[in-house]
Formats: sequence, structure tokens, C-alpha cells
Amino acid sequence: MLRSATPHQALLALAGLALGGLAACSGGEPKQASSSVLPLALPRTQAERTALRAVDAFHPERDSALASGGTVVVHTESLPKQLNPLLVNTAYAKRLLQDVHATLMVRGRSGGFEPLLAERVQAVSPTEWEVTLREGVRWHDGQPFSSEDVLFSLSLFRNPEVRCDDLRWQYERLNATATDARTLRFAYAEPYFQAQAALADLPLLPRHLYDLERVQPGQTHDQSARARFVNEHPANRAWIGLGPYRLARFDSAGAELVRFAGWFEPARAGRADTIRWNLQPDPSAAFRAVLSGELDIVAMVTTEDFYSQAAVTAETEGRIVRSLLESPGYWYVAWNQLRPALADVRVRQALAHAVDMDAFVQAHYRGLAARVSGPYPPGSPFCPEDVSAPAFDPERAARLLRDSGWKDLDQDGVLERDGAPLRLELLVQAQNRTAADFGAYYQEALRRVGIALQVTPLELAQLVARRNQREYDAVMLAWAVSAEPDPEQSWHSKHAPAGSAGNNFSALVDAEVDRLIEAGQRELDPARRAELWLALHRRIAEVQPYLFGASPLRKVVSRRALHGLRWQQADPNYVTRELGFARSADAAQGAPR
Amino acid sequence: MSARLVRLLLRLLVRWAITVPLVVLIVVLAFRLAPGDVRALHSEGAEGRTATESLSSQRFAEEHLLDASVWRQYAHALGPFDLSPRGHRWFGGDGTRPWHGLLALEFGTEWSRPQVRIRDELAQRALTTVPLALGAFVVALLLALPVSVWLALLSTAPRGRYVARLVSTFLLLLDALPGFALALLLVALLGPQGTNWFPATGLDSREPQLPFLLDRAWHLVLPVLALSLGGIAHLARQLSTNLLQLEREEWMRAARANGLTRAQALRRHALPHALPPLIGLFGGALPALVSGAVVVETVFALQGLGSYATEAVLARDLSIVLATCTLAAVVAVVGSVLADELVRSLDPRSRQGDVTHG
Amino acid sequence: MADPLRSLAACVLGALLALAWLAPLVANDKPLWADARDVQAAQLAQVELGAALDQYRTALAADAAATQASTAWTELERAWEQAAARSSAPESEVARVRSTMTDCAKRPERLVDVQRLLAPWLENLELPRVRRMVGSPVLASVDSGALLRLALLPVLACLVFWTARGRLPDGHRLWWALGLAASTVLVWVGLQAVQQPELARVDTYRVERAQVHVDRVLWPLVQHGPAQTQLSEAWSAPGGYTRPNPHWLGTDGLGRDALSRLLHGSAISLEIALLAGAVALALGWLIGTTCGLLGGWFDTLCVRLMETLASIPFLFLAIVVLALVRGRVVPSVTVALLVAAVAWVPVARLVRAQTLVERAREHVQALRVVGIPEGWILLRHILPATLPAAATAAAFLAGSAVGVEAALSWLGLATTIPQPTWGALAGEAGGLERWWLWLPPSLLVALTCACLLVLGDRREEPRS
Repeated sequence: MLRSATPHQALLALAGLALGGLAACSGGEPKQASSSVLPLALPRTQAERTALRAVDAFHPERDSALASGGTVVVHTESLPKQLNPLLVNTAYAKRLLQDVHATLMVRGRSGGFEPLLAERVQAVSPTEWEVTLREGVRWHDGQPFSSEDVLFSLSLFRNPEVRCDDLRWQYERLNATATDARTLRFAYAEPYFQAQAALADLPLLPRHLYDLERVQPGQTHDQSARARFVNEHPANRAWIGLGPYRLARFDSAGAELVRFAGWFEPARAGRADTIRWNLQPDPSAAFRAVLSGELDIVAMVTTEDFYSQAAVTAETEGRIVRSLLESPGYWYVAWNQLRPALADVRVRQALAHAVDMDAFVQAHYRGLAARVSGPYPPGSPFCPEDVSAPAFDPERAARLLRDSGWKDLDQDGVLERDGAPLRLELLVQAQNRTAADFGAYYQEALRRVGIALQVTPLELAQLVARRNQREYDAVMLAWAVSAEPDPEQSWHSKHAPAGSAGNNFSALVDAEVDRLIEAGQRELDPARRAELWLALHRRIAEVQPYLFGASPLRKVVSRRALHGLRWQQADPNYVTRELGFARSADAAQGAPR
Repeated sequence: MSARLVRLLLRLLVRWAITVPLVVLIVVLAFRLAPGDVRALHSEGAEGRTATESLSSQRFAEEHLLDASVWRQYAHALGPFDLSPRGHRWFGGDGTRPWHGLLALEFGTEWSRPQVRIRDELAQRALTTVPLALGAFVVALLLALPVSVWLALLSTAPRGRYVARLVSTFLLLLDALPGFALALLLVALLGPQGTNWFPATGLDSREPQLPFLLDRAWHLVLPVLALSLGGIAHLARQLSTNLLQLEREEWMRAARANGLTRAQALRRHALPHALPPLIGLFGGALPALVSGAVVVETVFALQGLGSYATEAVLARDLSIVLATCTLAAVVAVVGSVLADELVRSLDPRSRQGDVTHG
Repeated sequence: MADPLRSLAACVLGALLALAWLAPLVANDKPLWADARDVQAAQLAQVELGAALDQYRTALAADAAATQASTAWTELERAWEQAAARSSAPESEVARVRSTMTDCAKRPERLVDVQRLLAPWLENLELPRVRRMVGSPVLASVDSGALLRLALLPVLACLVFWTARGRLPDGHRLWWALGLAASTVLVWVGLQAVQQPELARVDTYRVERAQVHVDRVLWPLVQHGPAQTQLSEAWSAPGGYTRPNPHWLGTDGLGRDALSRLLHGSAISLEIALLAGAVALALGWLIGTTCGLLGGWFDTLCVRLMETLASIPFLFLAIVVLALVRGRVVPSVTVALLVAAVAWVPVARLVRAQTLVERAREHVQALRVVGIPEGWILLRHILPATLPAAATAAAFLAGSAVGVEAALSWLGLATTIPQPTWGALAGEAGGLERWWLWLPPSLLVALTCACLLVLGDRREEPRS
């Protein structure tokens, strides 16, 4: 048979195979979301925002219908390198530490602080507190928690060789003394609005593990040896903490948290017996995993996957639920004001008016992102309602550029001033889709106005180096905003020069901004402080040191059987502990495939 | 036999002695020249930025010889003495960690995770990559066997020559299709959104229905296919040429005279003789397999050696990059020496000179 | 007669490269030829003229120092020259106004005359008053590199023909080479000479918004540019858009036409392959012949070096080097050179083996005995014998270069914005569902790679 096969038949067979392959691939064009449990829309008013934050996505009678126990598998796109809260201050570390560790106080629902490890916190003066620790708190290895651990943790900040530079500037000014094993007195060096927040979040380390003097008594140890012991301790990965869950496993593939029997606060105990964090850097692979039941919840779904045919089908079949979470954070383009072309505020305003950011947000995020107008994202109490981001107005941009002296004299399409053309270089992080898309879009938009923008994708090491040395015209970065951040790091002029600590990537030097920041840092009354931050937001919106981008909503896909999704300000914007499965009667409804 | 073995080992040692230090030199030089602030990268915080002149930053630089001369860095990387401030006493260290480097088989700990020994992590990741590479080669060989027999039969038939050319070209196209496209096609066709015969992510199921090894094998089916399908073209064509050459031998003609059909003769007698040189091809294909695995590991979310090295380069962790590159070089040298040896042993004409045919 | 499959491969490759080089003419948002009037530029010049006149008037009225007034006057003259350049006024009128302006130069009292003179230039602009431009906006907007590619098309055609035929022209090879070189240079210079930069402003965006008015126009086949974003049409499937200019291969996330990007990106991907192959060929041939001819310790050293290079894990080192030069050197050139730096080894091995064989041939020995210098022997005997084999090996390696580049840019390690390469285009697909974004570039990579592999295949099909 083979010998008599003609070329024609073989060709037809191959063609058929190829066509069949192509047909199988074209699963169809992405359709609009036709049916969903919740309206998938951006909250525009404060009421809508409150509603989005308050609602439990799936089940109104949350507490009674949910059972305890079981395993919840949660997705993370990155794992922290270490879990020691003193050394590591990244969002990914805090994700795991939320459940395996505890702090003296936590933020309550209404905004104040509630004591957790501390039983009672009494403010003696605006800068002094008397703290009584709770009785019977134990570390995960059984040792008791006492004021010794608190004092030891604080003393580590004074060892300059311990790698805690991120937090050192905050805790160097906090002093503590202990009257006995349960009572401490804290004093902050000067009135500082975040003093109580710093106290609440004080990283706690077990002294019996980390104190070299205690572990190896009888020898003298110098500062380097003690610091090295803390920096390289194996417990940095095999973390012994104070939280409701115990770290059972932590490796390159993920982490496993198991319920800790000695936890003292039933209200914050957590529903599942085991929480497993699975690492999956590729969001599309994570989405496929939740569809097939390998993961229970993914909070980093791309827009394409969120609205894809597969997602819509799975939702209508009742296997998954799609929901949105607010994620306070945004991306921006920082203009380096040390460059002469960008020092003029009119040029920066023109750069903002030249691009149709609303259209980009609509196309890239399908409208599920809010434009940011200043340092605080919409939804923050410090973002004034009446300040809006610059509208798309290319004529105005052209006029502003003309007024600041930029003219196209040689008709080559690029504006010049004093012989120098207006060519800017935008640094973006490689392998970042939003950055690449916005870079290309912005390049085209600026070309129409006569500005030549070159977009350079760089890998992280080079980006960080050039960013820190202010060797760029513009750089595209992102920022996750906490409840009430200290604006000094990002906006004060003392962090403007190259090589300085802090995030003033725009090299902003503005007297009014400095004054507002310093006043706000000293103001201890929350209402008056809020006024100052609102004024700060207005001033920065006027000065336009950044092209403020957008704050996207988190798109969450979770299995239908999983309940307990509740919003929180901190990353990952939902409370992992409160996730759980319904009782057996409902469990069958959302059983894995 | 033992004399040959001794000669083989000697050749291996000599090749290692030349290749591996050269690879180490290249990597160390590349890191010296690489732009980017290593210190900032390893102390990068979330909201603040560490001033690079802080004391803890300086200690980090001293410990990892970031500011040392190129000779010191090279000697430290080669070993066996550790030349950092905590290294061997002879070189100014305090003696806590005297041995380091390739010659001591001690790569130290990861720069951003000082609790993790690179040797342990390499071993764990090799457990993913090695089955993948080996499996890919074996599958490619197994799939290439029937195809090569068919090609050999076809190419000497009167009109079959054109079909043979066409099939050969189609296989060539399959070989030429970029790795990621092949992987994506396989996922689309056979993965959870296609026919759902095989999983498309990771190595372990959440609730495994099969015993551990079988479950792992099931997860590896699509990655192995993605890596192996391209190599079938090479192997099939090489095999078919060998088969046709072998057909002209006396003993093959004797087999035909005994009444076997052409296909039977090829399969039963020629194939076992044509196979061994192809095992030698594996040696040459090893570096390519490990490299090609990087793309496959990305698509299927496997934690293998390829992604380990890539992430380490992007995170500027010299210890990990050195460890992976030297491991790859060692393995590659083993592969090429074995390949040479097999070619040599089978083809007496090529014993003169040291020319290996690519 | 050459092998038909190899001829087919050569033709397909040539066609791809020709299409890639012709991409600016085939897919562009600017017309191939247009008879246009740039209304927006003329209006802008008018506005600037008015502003300059006002500034001159205020400078005089403020009774300020003479330098200010003369600066304002220079500005006024420049603005008027601009406006005149953009208007269709006859040369005589322009000359008249210019001479009058020169008269009024340093005389503040003649302000009224100047105002009266410039009044007609400041009134409402009508279409006939805008200068008419006739020419090729496409040619005006491409850079000299693209023009060089267009000029090299005849060379490409000849090379493809000779490869398909299987041999070079029998005689007059030097004349052929000189003629092709001369024609390339002439066409390139000629194309640059006919560029009219002011036509670069004519494109679909401006024509739609009536900023540029066109009377007669010839559009290219695909009326979309590779960088032209149209957010309202993002992620549309092929043919799914019913405008007069459909997107034959759909659009990507920014509404850019996928077919246009594919065509424009083909040039870079193909040139990487060619560059890698050429460098590998040159380097490999040089080192191979040197080894073969010199022999001795140099030969041994080279052989050891080649063995070493073959053992180096290529992808890891590629990632390291790419990270090194990111931001300084164009990634595509880096990838090509990286591949060539490793790929010259098989070429050198082959050439070395063949050189040894040629050296041992009797007639070459005879020549040496007679006293012919080595260089001549090299040129006349060894070069023609070794070059074809080396060329096929280099073609084989060029094929692998395409694959390597595709993998590296798909991983995101070698991208540039906005010039895409095939691998980058495939990586932008963002999911399996958008097959129209990742399948065409992958197929093109496969096709190119396969053609190069076929060209580089030295094994003969066995004959029975």
C-alpha cells in the first residue's frame, strides 16, 4: 500500500491534518461576558466602592453555612525569598506572614487599631504607650512569648549589619523598656503620625532562636557575628511565628500552612485546616489550573482570560465564580526633573494631555481600572473627589509645548529648542505586558505631538540601577499603597538627588510639597492630617511630577464551592484565613472536575 | 577493554580540565561586565529603597567578593579554597567556610536565600529536567524508528521517492517549528481546554488518582512530547540513511535470500545495527535538550534547571549561574566524549585524526 | 540540474525576504503616491506668523532695547518664510514681499507697512492657497536602511536565481558583481534624492481628520501601519471588522494590524538569520582554512578550542550576554552575533577537513613543488572547493539562528518596542485563544527554518 501511495494522496492527507489542527485551535473569538453572578463593573462612587468591599461574593449567610476544616489551595505568582519580617518587607512575604505570624496590634474594620498580641494598649502621651502583652501566647515551637522577644527585636534595628535597611529608619526612633515579662513602655523620639502604626506592625522575632548570646553562651560575639546569625538563620525560611497557622513546608514550589493548636483568638482562627500556597508565575497557567480544579482561587487573572470563552462557560456551568477586588496601587511614569527638558511644568502637563489614557484603560483593562490623578488612588480617603486626571487634549498639549519654546524649525516632525530636539527615553521593565503596550501606545501618541519617545525594555537589575542613579528621562513603575503611607519617602526633596534612599524618582523639589509633608508628619489629629494629605494630593496633581496611570481591579477566579471571600486593604486584598468550603450538602454542587 | 576505558576516562578528564575552567572564566567575566546594581537587587525592599552605602550592603559585597579583583573572583569560583572573608585561613579568612568552588564541588548558598544550599536545589531541580531530557530523547527515538523504516522503504520505490521527500520535508517543518509554538499547540489540542487527556501545568496533581510515579509521568507527557517531536526529523532521516547503507551489506542480502520481505529484513536485522550510532547523537544533543527545556519549562510551569539558571541571571546571583553553567558544561563534555567514542568504535576509518563529524 | 526541493526552498526564502523588504510598500498607513495639501501645517504656520507679528509689535511698543526688537524681527522673518513655504502663492509675489520686508528691516516706523503687507497672509486660509505637494509619502517616511533594502532587491533576485539553478553564472562573474553593486548604490542614492520630507505627514490618521487634504491618492495593499494604534479595534479576529480596510489577520491588544506587523517584522527576523549565517561562514572559513593549511600547534589549539565551544551551554550564555548589552546594543544584532560566535565551529570543522583533503591532492602538491605561492593556491584551488560546503553548513546554522531568536524574544529577553520580531509577535498573543497572533509568526519561523535547513542539507538522498 505504501509503495503505491501517490504524491497527491499524501498531500491531501497532510493538508487535512493541518486544517484539522487549525480548526481545533480556534476556540472562538473572545465574547463579552454574557452572564455572571455579580455585575462586573468598576465602582465609581464611594457607595459602590463600599459595596464592593463589603460584599461576600458568594454566600450571604456566611458564618453559619461554612464548615471548618479541609484544605484550601491558593495561587501566588511569586514567593518571598525569606519570611523573617524584620529582613523582608515585600508584599509577597506579608501574604504568608499574615497567617503564620501576628503583631502587637492589627487594623480594625473601621480604621483604628485593635490589640492582638497586646492585651491592652494605653496612650500615656502622644508619643508614649504602655503595652500589656497577652498571657499564654506561645511560639509555634512551644516557647512562651514575652516582652524579651519584643525588646530583642527592637534592638536588632540598632545593629547596622542586620539587613533591615527598609524598616530601620522607622524603628530607630522607637525606644522601649520592659517593666516585667508582660508590660512594656514604648516611646517615639518625636511626634510622628505613624508612630502607633509602627508600634502595631513591629516585627517580632523569637529571642530563644535568634539571639546568638543565648544560643551560644559563654563566647563573646561581635556585632558582625550577631548580625550574620540573624541574616542567615535557617528559621528565616522555616519560620517559627505567632500566628494561627504553622509553617509546615516552604520550598521553591510553594508553602503549606497547617492550623496551630495553640492559637488563642477563635475569632481570627481561620476556617481551613490547611492553607497551601502554590507558586505559578504564569497567570494563564494559573487560570487553567483553577478551571481544572488544581487551584481553588487565583487573584491575578489577566483581562483576556477573565473574559475568555472558557471562563464564561465554566461560570455558566457553575464550576467557577468570577469576581473583582479593589487593589489600592497604581502604575505611573516618573519624569526625571533633573533633565532640563522635563524641568518645565508646562512640558509635563503637555505630556499628560497628549495621550488618551481613558481609551487605553478601556481597551487594556476593559474599563476595569480607575485612572489615578495624584499620589492617592481613588477610593483612598485622601483623594479629593474634585481633582481629575488630565483629559486627552492634543491641541492643548501642542499649545503648551509651543508656549514653553519648543518649535519644529527643521520640519522633521520632532520639536526643538535651542537646537536640541525633544527626544525622551522611557525605561520599562521587560516581560511586563502592560508596560510594553502602554509604551508603544504612548510612543505613537507623542509622535503626533512632535516628541520622539524611545521605549527601552530593561531587565530588573539594570532598571533598578538606572532608576536609583536617576539615569533616565522617564521610567515606568508601580506602587502598592498602604492605608496611610508616609509621603516623605516619595515626594520630599531630600530624597531627590541621585543615589539617595527613598522613592523620589521624579527628583521633585517643591517647597509647598515639603511643607505639607512635614506638617502632616507632625500632625497627630487624624481629621486635620487628612486635610493636609488632601492638599498634598491637589498640589502634586498641579505639579505633575508623574504621568499617573491606572489602578486596576484585581480579577479573581475561584471555585464555586469556595466561600468566604472578603476584601482587605493589604495584598492580596482578600483574607486567606476566611476561605473555606461549604458544608457537605453544598459541597457536591461545586465538586472539582 | 580496560585500557580503552582508561583512555576514555583520561580523555574525559583532559576535556573537563580545558572546558570547565573556560566556562567559569566566561561567566565570571560576564558578571563583572554586566550592568545593573547587584547590591540593590539583593536588598530591594517593597516600599523603601536601600541606600547602597549602608553597612549591611557593604558586608554583603565583601562576603560575595563583589568588589574584588577578577583574579580573586575567578580563583574563588574555581576553588577549592574559599577566598571570602569567611573562607580559608591561608587567604585571610576566618576559617568558617574553608572550601568553595568547582574543585571542591561546593557552590555555597543562594545569595538571596542563605538557608538554601545550591547543591540541594540543583539536585531537586535536576529531578525534573533529567527525566524530561531523557524522556524526550527516548520518545523521539521510539517514534523515529517506524518512520525511518517507512522512509527507507519508500525512498527506493519508483514513485515513492517523492512521497519520501514530502514526508521528510513535513518532518523538517515540524523540527523547524519553534519550541513554544509546538508546546502551545500541544496544550491547545491535548490539554485541559482541548481533549483533556493530559494536564498542562506542574508536576503533581492536587488529588492524584494514580500512584506517585505514574502521576508524575502523566504530567510529563505533554512536555516530553513538546521537546521530542522536533528531534524526530533528525533521527528519522539519519536512521533511514544508515538503514539504506546497511542494506547493501552481504549479510542483509543473505537475509533477503532466506525469504524475508524487505520490511522484515530492515526491522529485524538492519535496525539493531543502525541504532548504536544514534545513542552517540544523544551526547551531542544534550546541551540542546537542556536549553530547549527552558521554553518548555516556561509553558508548562515546571521548576527545572533551565528556569533556575534564567531566573538567577536576571536576579544576578553569580553562585547559581556558576553552578548551573558548570553542570551543563560537565554534562556536555561527557556527552561529546561518549559520542566521539561510539563513532570511533563503530567506524574504523574515523580512528585516524581527531575529526568528529557534526 | 539542481535538486528541485532545494530550488523550491531558495525561491520560498527569496520570496519571503523580498516581501519583508517590500513591507513598507505593501503595508503602510501612508499612501504610495499622493497629490495632497497639508492644511494643518499651513494653518499652524499662519498662527505662528500672527504670533510673531504681535510679538514684534509689542516689542516696538514697549520701547525696549534694540536687541529685543531685532530678535522679534528675525522671528517674524522666519515665521513668514515658513508661511510662504507652505502657501501656493506665486514666486513673484513671494519675492516682492521678501524684498519689501528687507527694506523694512531696521526701521520701526515702517510697522504699518509691514502689517499691511502681511495682512493677506493672515486672513482665512482657503484650500487653493495651501501649497500642493505631489509625490510618494511612503518613500518620504522610510529611513535610509529601508531604502537600502529596496535597492538590494535586484541582488536578491539574482542570488535566488543562481541558488535555484544550482550554479553561479558561467562567465563574466566579476562584471556581474560590479554591475549589481553599482546598480544597488545608484538606486539607493537615487531613492534618497527623490525623498520629499514634507510628504511624510500624509497618512490615514491625518486624512481622516481633514488635517491633510488629498486630491488623488494611491494606497498600498494593506492600509495599516505596523505602529498605528486603534484602541477601538483591539483584539479583533481576522476579517471580523467591516471597515473599508479589513484587518486580514486581525489585530493585537492595541488595535495594530497583525498582518502589517508580521510583514514589517519579517525583515528583522530574516536578517538575523542572514547575519548569523554570514558571520559564521566568514569566521568558520577563515579559521578552518588557516588550521588546515598551517597545521601543527595552531591546528591542535583550534581543534581544542572548537571542542570547548561546542560544550558551552548556549542558551545560558546567551541570556547572560543579552542581559549585559540590554539597552546599549540592538538585541537582534546581539542574538545574531551570539549564534555566529558558537556556530562557526561546525563550519570550521568542515572546511578544515576539506582543506586537508585538498592539500593532499596531487596537483596541488605539484603546484607547490613548482613554486606557486600559497596565497594563489588558496584562492584558485582551495577556495572554490571548500566554499560551497561551508555555505551549506552556514545555511543550516542560519536556520537554527531563527529558532533561537524566536525562543529568546518569546521569553521576553530580546524585545524592542515597537519593531517586532516573529518571536516577540508570538509572545504578544497573551493566551491560546488568539491563534491569529501566535500561529502565523510560528508558521513563518518554521517555514524559514525549514527552507534554510533544506538548503543546508548536505546529505544526498540515497539512490537504489
